[in-house]
Amino acid sequence: MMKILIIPLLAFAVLSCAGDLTVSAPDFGDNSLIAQTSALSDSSKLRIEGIYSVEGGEANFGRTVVAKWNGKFFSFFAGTNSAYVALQGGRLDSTLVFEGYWRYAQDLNTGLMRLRIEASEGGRELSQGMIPSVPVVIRGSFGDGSSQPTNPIVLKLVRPLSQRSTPFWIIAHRAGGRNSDLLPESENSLGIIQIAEGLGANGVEIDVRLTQDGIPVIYHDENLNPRLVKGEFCIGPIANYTYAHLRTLCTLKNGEQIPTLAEALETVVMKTSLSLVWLDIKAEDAIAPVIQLQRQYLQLAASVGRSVELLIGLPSLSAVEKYLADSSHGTAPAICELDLADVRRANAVVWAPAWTLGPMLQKVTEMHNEGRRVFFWTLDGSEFIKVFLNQSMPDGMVTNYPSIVAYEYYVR
Amino acid sequence: MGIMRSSKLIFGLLLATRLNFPNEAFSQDSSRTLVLFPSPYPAGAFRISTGVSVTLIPRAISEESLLQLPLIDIRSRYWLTDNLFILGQANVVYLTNQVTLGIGWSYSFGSVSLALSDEVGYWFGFADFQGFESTAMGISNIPSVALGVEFEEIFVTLRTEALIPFGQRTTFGTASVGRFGPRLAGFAFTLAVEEELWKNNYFLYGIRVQYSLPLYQTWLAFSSFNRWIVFPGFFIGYEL
Repeated sequence: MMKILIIPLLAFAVLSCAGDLTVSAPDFGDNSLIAQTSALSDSSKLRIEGIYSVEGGEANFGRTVVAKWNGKFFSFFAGTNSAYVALQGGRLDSTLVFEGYWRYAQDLNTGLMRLRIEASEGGRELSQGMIPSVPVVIRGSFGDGSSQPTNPIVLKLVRPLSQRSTPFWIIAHRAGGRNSDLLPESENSLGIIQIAEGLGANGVEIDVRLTQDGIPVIYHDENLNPRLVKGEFCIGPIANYTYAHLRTLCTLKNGEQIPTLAEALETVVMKTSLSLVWLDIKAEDAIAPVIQLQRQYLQLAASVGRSVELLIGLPSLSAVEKYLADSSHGTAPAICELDLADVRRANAVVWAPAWTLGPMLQKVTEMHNEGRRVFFWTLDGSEFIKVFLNQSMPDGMVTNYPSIVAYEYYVR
Repeated sequence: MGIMRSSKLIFGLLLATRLNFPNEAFSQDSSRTLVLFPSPYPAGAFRISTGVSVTLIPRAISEESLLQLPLIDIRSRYWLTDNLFILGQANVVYLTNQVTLGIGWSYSFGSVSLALSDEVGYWFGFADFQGFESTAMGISNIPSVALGVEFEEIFVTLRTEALIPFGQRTTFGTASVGRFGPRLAGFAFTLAVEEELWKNNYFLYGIRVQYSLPLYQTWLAFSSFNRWIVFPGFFIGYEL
């Protein structure tokens, strides 16, 4: 009998040992130079963006990277190891200084990076917002983990980024990525909204649920569970909890509060340059209050000179019915995941099919001819992303890895 | 030329096992042939088992949405010689399926047995329900070593497999993407027990812990994690 018990006991031991991994974003702490720098002008930022060749860090970042400013972040997106770099920068006299961290998006590796554009290699002109008279060269080093960077890297500007009249929307799933991607902030948190641009996104998808007392909150799963929250008494449907109870009992995985939708939209408008929010409605009763918040925060955005699209997500037929039943739906732009007939019935501005249905170029063209945009969800593998960019001509993609979409889109 | 070389290799292997070292092969009772225990048996011995297996998909991949279906689990072994055997396994449930076929060699030292084997696996899956119009297939190589110990009519086998995908192709709608080239994607460790229920009627059960990149069991999640994850699994079956 004892022998037979060996296997269940071993199974229990194995399952018990599968603990949670964490990956922190390293920082320079007191050694940071950014506090000593002055802000760069928009024209300087634009002139640093481009496709760069890599020397010295090819094993980590490949031979080519895309450099792009997104909000306050100067990011690099690589085609090797799904690597990206999120930096902040400024000018110190005639030198441009950047520092931050690199990460492999689909892996656990990360480290610090510090870069400079010296005065003689374009820094002098760039620091004054002028066109450099010499080829721009970025030099610096990167390290592993939180150790000081010592591995040299040189980036040489090959060409500027192609400018398009309309943007391509790189929409970060769950406001930046899933908890399983081990980002420094929890999925669907205020913190991750603020780092989404550093990951390569210009839009975010957030999940909306209702609390028992009717407050729209951003949270993905139907239930409170250890994948998303910490808290001894956090179990069962989130719809069974009042918002006060959620605040008291539960925190998100990295210790943040579960945000209300109002807090999330306030963060998008006031603390980022994100230009699109896909409000993925997980509870249909949320549609009416979400439409009210949509109007309120579009007005706030307009009042501060921000151009942001807030789109009501319609994932099911019953959601479409609820949406159409709301008297304000005509002025509440929506994004519909269903068939083209439903997209037309809801007069959604965006059609959002699942990528697993294939590229569907003919239907994409139909939508474009009607003046609607098409976003595919949720594309993560670079080989799949390339297929859709080349065969489907969408206007955007939802992804857990905005850095990979950014690389594949900008190097084309 | 390749076929000639392969034929010579197979003939050599057969000869080597015929001219085998003195071992306990002939002491084994062929009526008690087991499908997992890595012991030699007389040429012509055959055993097949049928049962179910399930691989638990970690929360990081399944989140709250991926259905974890048990697979029909069929295993068999046939002894070409006392030491050389062919083995096969099928795990099927329509959405996700894998069939493996391979060859192995076994040897015994008293109550301890050892087997080396190599299998080629072909996996395939279909997803044609709402939101999906996808299929996938792949080929992998699975070399393994198994160690077996008999404890008073309870046969315990510990098997270690290397998981080496050669390539896979995924189709979605009218498009498809292939990924080719062998790479070590992980290891799997199986601890199995075969035990007599009643006269010469054996059942088997055990755990299988796979430490690997996401493989065929999770193809429908289209996970692109580039890190090894623990996938615990369980199986139970009856030896026909």
